[in-house]
Amino acid sequence: MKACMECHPDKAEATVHVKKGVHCESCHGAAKAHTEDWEKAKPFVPSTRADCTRCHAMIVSRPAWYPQIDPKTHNPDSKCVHCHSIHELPAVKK
Amino acid sequence: MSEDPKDITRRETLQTVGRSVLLIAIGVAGGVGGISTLQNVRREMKLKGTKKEGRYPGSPWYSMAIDIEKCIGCGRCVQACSEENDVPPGHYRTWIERYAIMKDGSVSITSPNGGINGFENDIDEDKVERAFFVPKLCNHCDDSPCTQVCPVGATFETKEGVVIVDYDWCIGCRYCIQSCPYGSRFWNPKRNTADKCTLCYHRIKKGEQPACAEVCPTGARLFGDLSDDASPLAKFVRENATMTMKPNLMTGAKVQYKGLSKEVV
Amino acid sequence: MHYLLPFASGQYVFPNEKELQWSVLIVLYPFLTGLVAGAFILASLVRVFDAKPVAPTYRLALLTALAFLICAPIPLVTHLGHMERSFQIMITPHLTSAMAIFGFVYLWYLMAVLLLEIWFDFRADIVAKSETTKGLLKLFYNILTLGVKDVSPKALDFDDKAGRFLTIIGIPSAVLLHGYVGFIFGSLKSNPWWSSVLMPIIFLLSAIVSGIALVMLIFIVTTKVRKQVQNVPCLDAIARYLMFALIFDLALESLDVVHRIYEAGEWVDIFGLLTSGYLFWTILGLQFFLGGIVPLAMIAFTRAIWPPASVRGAMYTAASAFVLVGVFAMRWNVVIGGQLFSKSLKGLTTYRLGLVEYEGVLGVIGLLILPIVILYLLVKLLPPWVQGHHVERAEKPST
Ligand code: HEC
Ligand code: HEC
Ligand code: HEC
Ligand code: HEC
Repeated sequence: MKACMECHPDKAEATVHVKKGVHCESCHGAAKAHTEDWEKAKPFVPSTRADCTRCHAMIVSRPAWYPQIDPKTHNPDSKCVHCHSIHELPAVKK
Repeated sequence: MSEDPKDITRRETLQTVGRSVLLIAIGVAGGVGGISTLQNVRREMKLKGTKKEGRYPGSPWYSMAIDIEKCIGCGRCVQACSEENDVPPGHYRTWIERYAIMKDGSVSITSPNGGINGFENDIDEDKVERAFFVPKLCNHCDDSPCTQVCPVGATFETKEGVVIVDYDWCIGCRYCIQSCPYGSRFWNPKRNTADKCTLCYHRIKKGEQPACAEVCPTGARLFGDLSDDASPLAKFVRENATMTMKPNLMTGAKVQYKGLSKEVV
Repeated sequence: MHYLLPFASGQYVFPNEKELQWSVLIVLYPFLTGLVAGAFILASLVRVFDAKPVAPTYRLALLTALAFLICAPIPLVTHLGHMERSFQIMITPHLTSAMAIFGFVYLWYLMAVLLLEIWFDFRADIVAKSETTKGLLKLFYNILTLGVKDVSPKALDFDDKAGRFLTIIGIPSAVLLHGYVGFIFGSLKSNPWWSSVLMPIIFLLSAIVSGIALVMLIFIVTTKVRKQVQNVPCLDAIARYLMFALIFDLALESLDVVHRIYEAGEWVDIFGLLTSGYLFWTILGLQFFLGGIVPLAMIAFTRAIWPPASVRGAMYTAASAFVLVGVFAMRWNVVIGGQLFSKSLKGLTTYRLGLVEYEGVLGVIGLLILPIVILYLLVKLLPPWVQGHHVERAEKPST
């Protein structure tokens, strides 16, 4: 996380995930190569619903406190990032 | 019957030969045993360093605590571990199990591909009484069965309490894999040796977190130094009721679980 | 009634335990060392306990033990991930490991016991051979004499004493060699199938059973091949020992089973599943029935009815072959059986035995034929058919 902060302070600030301690690489994948040479290696940028549902889909065994949605009923027709801003607040776009 | 003097000398020669063969055999066995014991002791001293006095044999004394209530089963830890440590597919240094205790009392335990790709919501919710995820990894036992049985001392506990394998010394007998009651060890077909979780020794030596703890989105894995009272891990263990896996086996497991229920194997 | 119905909705195997670690090669290893220990103990019956009727098999038993001992480490070493590092077990043995002393136990047994005993026993024959043969063979026998060509009665007397002494050392060594193999398995607390104090003793008894059966079978077959008359009184005597050993072996193995069922620890469900499924035929069919009860009944029956010699010989042949199959099945049940369930005690894996591969049927057959080939060579070099001088002299009435 610290490694990314150096160059992406804007991304790290004030977002739901980062505030809760979700690591950049949890969403962007291993990005060591990118920190060494950002021109050559670009990290993965999540865009599909599957990238988010992996953590947020409703599963019985997930703890109750954790925010989950049912991907079949929670606005199934658009990408999550259309309504949810990841790197800005508020988490739900107006 | 009178003895022929020649006979006596011959007999003596023979006896001498017989005795010396025996003596040499015993001598060689003893010598090899002695030298190797010395070498072994030296090797162990080099690896372990001298242990300190105190509650824990060493300081720092690394371990991990797992908060079962926090795990969401996303599988990022398994993925990060496998990328970080180049774990061959189908083998796991860490993995996630999903437990579903059904209303009829049966327990379903699953871990598809160690949970590396997360889990599907494929259990009928109405039948489930309680369900949860349990991340597993090597317990880095202090009296570990695996280091006990290694015939060449290739697996050992470092002075920080981390159990690791010396891949250049392991002969590949697999006895340690048999001796692990947790299924934490596996056969690495790339190296042709035994392999296991190292708590990302290469990372923690640099002051970083193990890859699995680093990527955990909910902080279900808490890595730290048990011997440092101020560390979050020591605080966590102090303030919560925690449990280790299979404590009846007296392995001295270090990894602490909060919220461990009886169904967990 | 268990309040957790463990297998009601599927089994669970730890993801790392889907594959077995020790293949059929490691089944061979205790089988082979067991044959060595058993053959040696049969031989020592003659030497130390003066079991005269079995004397004709004494030298054959020693050579058999040697041939199988030479082959015993082969499956072990070739199964290592890094064969080239196997010597490390000698230079840095880790003293808390049961496996670490393997090299020492093995070498001790080979060099200090078996080779020495064979040398003392065959020394007079070697000296005689070195005088009658020519060329390379002569040189070979000359080397074997180690320069000691004295065959005076005094020297032979010393040979005899040394041999006796070595046998006395040899018995505990043979017990160590094989009891130790049992300890390798029995001392693992992680594995309830193996973890048992009875393990070394059961290993030892089944070793004795298998060794006696092997020597008896080889004795019968070689007599047939050499077109000699079967020495049935000798076979009667061996069969008697085999019967006693079988009784002890079966009693202990049954005790183990009964104890486990009665104790019914956390593993009881998974063991039930294992023994009623994958291992059903190899445990109940081969190990207990074919390899235990059937040969025991055959020998007991033969002894009760006492049919003509030829029938007795045939019965013994069949019984010893069954025993060998049964003991192999026992090793299989221990080694493979102990790996078929996950340490979660909640699920089973499977083991597929390959056919045309080294770690499969072909390799096993090869490794079982190899000691026979070595034994053939040993027998050619040191014919065991003439009894050792100590036996002859022991049979002479003392004046
Ligand atoms: C050395 C400075 C530096 C560090 C350290 C760094 N980045 Fe970047 N990163 C950049 C720059 C500059 C760009 C913009 C590149 C561009 O616009 O093409 C970038 C782009 C990105 C992008 C967008 C890629 C795309 O395809 O548009 C992501 C995602 C990203 N970084 C993630 C990370 C993460 C995660 C880390 C921490 C592991 C990290 N970066 C660390 C400099 C850095
Ligand atoms: C919850 C998952 C998540 C986390 C955690 C996260 N990101 Fe992102 N990030 C995204 C998504 C999704 C996008 C794409 C945003 C979009 O399309 O609007 C993105 C976009 C970016 C971009 C811009 C790429 C582009 O093309 O505009 C950068 C740079 C970036 N993230 C860096 C970071 C850094 C640095 C961190 C850690 C402090 C981080 N991210 C943590 C999900 C995440
Ligand atoms: C690595 C797992 C992970 C991924 C991938 C992820 N999240 Fe999250 N998300 C979290 C965690 C952890 C939280 C914080 C939960 C908490 O502590 O309340 C969170 C919180 C949120 C919240 C706030 C919920 C609330 O209760 O306020 C939203 C909205 C959200 N995530 C949307 C997304 C979207 C959209 C994506 C896909 C780009 C995404 N997440 C990907 C783990 C993840
Ligand atoms: C059409 C816009 C839209 C889309 C597309 C969308 N969401 Fe939402 N989401 C919302 C709104 C509005 C809320 C807040 C109201 C609520 O709680 O239902 C919300 C709430 C959430 C929450 C918080 C739930 C809680 O219990 O606190 C999570 C997590 C979340 N969304 C994840 C996702 C994920 C993952 C996706 C993509 C699979 C997604 N959303 C797609 C509009 C959207």
